Amino acid sequence: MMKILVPIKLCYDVGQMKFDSNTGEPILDAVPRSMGEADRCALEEALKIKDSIGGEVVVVTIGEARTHSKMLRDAFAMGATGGYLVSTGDYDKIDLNTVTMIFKALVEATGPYDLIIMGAGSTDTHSSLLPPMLGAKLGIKTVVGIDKLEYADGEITAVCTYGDGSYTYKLKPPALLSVTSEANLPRIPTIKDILRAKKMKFEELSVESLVENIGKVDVLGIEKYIVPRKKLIWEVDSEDKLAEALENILSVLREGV
Amino acid sequence: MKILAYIPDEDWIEQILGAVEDIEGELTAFVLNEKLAETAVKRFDKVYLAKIERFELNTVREAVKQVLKEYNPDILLAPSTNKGRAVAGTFMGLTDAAGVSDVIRIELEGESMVLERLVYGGTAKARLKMHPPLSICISPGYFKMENVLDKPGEVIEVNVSMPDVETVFKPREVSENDPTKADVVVAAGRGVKDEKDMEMIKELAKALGGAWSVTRPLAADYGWADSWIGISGIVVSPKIYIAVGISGQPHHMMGARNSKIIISINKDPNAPIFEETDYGIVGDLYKVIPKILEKLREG
Ligand SMILES: Cc1cc2nc3c(=O)[nH]c(=O)nc-3n(C[C@H](O)[C@H](O)[C@H](O)COP(=O)(O)OP(=O)(O)OC[C@H]3O[C@@H](n4cnc5c(N)ncnc54)[C@H](O)[C@@H]3O)c2cc1C
Repeated sequence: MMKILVPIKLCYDVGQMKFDSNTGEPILDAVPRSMGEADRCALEEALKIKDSIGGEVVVVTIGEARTHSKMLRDAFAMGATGGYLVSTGDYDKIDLNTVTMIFKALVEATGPYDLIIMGAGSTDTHSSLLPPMLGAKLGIKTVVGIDKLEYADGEITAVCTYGDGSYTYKLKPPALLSVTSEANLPRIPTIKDILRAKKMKFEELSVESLVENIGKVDVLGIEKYIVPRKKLIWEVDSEDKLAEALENILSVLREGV
Repeated sequence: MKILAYIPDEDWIEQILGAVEDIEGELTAFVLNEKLAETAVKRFDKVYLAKIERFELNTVREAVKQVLKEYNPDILLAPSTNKGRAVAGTFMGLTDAAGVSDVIRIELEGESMVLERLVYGGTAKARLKMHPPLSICISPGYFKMENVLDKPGEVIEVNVSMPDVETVFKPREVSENDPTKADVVVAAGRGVKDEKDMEMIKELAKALGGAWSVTRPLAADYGWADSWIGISGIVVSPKIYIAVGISGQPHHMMGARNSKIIISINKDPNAPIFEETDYGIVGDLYKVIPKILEKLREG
C-alpha cells in the first residue's frame, strides 16, 4: 500500500496563445487551460503503482474552485482517490518559494507520503525548478526529469535523459520524482469514470492556513516574443517561380556556409 | 555581488560569463569534475569542485550544502538545461532564494535586477523585477562573453558523501551530427513521410557542412532520431536553420527561434512557420529539396 501525492497545475495551452495586436500582451482569457501534460503523466505513473499494489493517490492544486474544480474532477476520473484545493485567487502571481512552502506544509499536514510524483515542468512556464526545490526543502531523495519510471519490489527505477547521456537511478521510497511528458500515454477516462468522479469531493484549504507569507512575482510586463524576420516567401506555382526562389535561397546558403 | 555559477561543461563557460559580464563582483564556479575545474579556474576567481563523476542530484545537493557553508552567493547562475534547472532548484530549496529560468536578458537596476524570460512555450517574454539572493537559469545561445579575462583562480575541493542512490550512466553516443554546435541545421518535420526520405535531409545537411535534426513526433513517435529540437528536446542557435515540412508549433520553435536565419519549406501557405521565416518556399519538399541538392552539387 502506497500513499502518493501528485501536485498538478492548470496550464495554458500554449499552442493556442492569443495576443492583443496593439499592445502585444497575451489575452489569457481566450486561451484554454487544462492539467499540465507532464502532470498528467505524473498522475498516470502514480495510478499505475496504485493499480499494481494498491494505495491512495492524492492530487493537490493551488487555485480557485471556479477555475480548478474541473481539473480536479478530471484527475478523479483518471483514478485519483482524493484531492486538495489550496484556494487563492492570486495563484498566477504566487512566487515559486511560496508554492514550495505551500506543498511542504500540505505534506506535513496530510502526509506522510511514500512518494511525491510531479510533472517535470509545466506546459506553460516550463521552469522545472519546483521539483528540485521541494525535494531539497523536504530533505527527501529526489530524481528529476524522468522519461521512464518503474516500481517493483519496493524499488524505483528511473531513467532520465540529460544532455550528456542517459542516467538510470535506483532508489527506495520515500522520494520525490518528476516525470516528463515522454514518460507514458496517460489513460483516458471512460464515461463511467467521469460520472463517478462527479460525485467525488475535494477538500478546500485556504493558503493562509498553510503559509504565513505569500510572496508574489513582480511582473513588469508580458508581451509576444517576436524575433524580427524578413518573411520573403515564394509561392512556387510554376517552374520559373521555383527557380527564382531557389536562386535566392541558394545565395543565402552559399553566403552562410 | 557574489556570483556562483554551476558549469555543467566547458561549452557553458562563455555563455555564463557573458550573462554577468556587466555585473561587478566575485565570480565563483561550481563544477563536478576535475578536468572542468582546471579549465574554469582560468576564468573564475574561485572554483568549488565536488568530484561527482555521474550526476546524481542527491549527492549534488549535499555538495551544494557544503559550498553554502563557506560561500553565500547573491546570485546563482545555471544553464536552462535539465541539470542546470535541477541544481538551481536545489539551491533555491536550500536557501529560500527566488529564481527564474529561460532568462534571455539580465539588467542591473540599483540593488535589484530586471530579467527577461521566455514564457508560454516561448511565445511570450516577461519582464520581471527580482531581488538577490536569486537564482537565474539562462537560455542557451543568448549570452556570450565579449572580453575573455584570465583570472588567477583557485580550486577548492568540496567533500562528497557516498550516494545512496545507485546510478548507472550511459553516455550519449558520440556522433558527428551535433545540431547544438553546427552553423547550419536542417530539421525535418512530419512533412517527411518515410524514414528513407530522411536520407535526403541528411544529404542536405552534409552538403551544407551542417547537422540534421527533427521535430518531436519523428523522434519520439517514429524513432527516426534520438533527439529532437524544442522545449522538451534540444535547443539550437545556428546561423541558418532550415525547417523542412515543419508546421512551426510553439513547442518546437522554442528550440529553434534563436537561429540567425530561418529558411522554411512547407506546402501549406498558412503554416505558422512562415510567420517566423526569413526565406520561405511554399511548395512540396519532395520537389524542392532534390532541386536544392542538385544545384548544390553543380556548385
Ligand atoms: C508538452 C509538449 C511538449 C512538446 N515538445 C516538443 C518539442 O520539444 N519539439 C517538437 O518538435 N515538438 C514538441 N511537441 C509537439 C508539438 O506541439 C508539435 O506537435 C510538433 O512540433 C509538430 O511537428 P511537425 O511540425 O513535424 O508536424 P506537423 O505539425 O504535423 O506539421 C507537418 C507540416 O508539414 C507540412 N507538409 C506535409 N507534407 C509536406 C510536403 N510534402 N512538403 C512540404 N510540407 C509538407 C504540413 O503542411 C505541416 O505544416 C510538444 C508537445 C507537447 C504537448
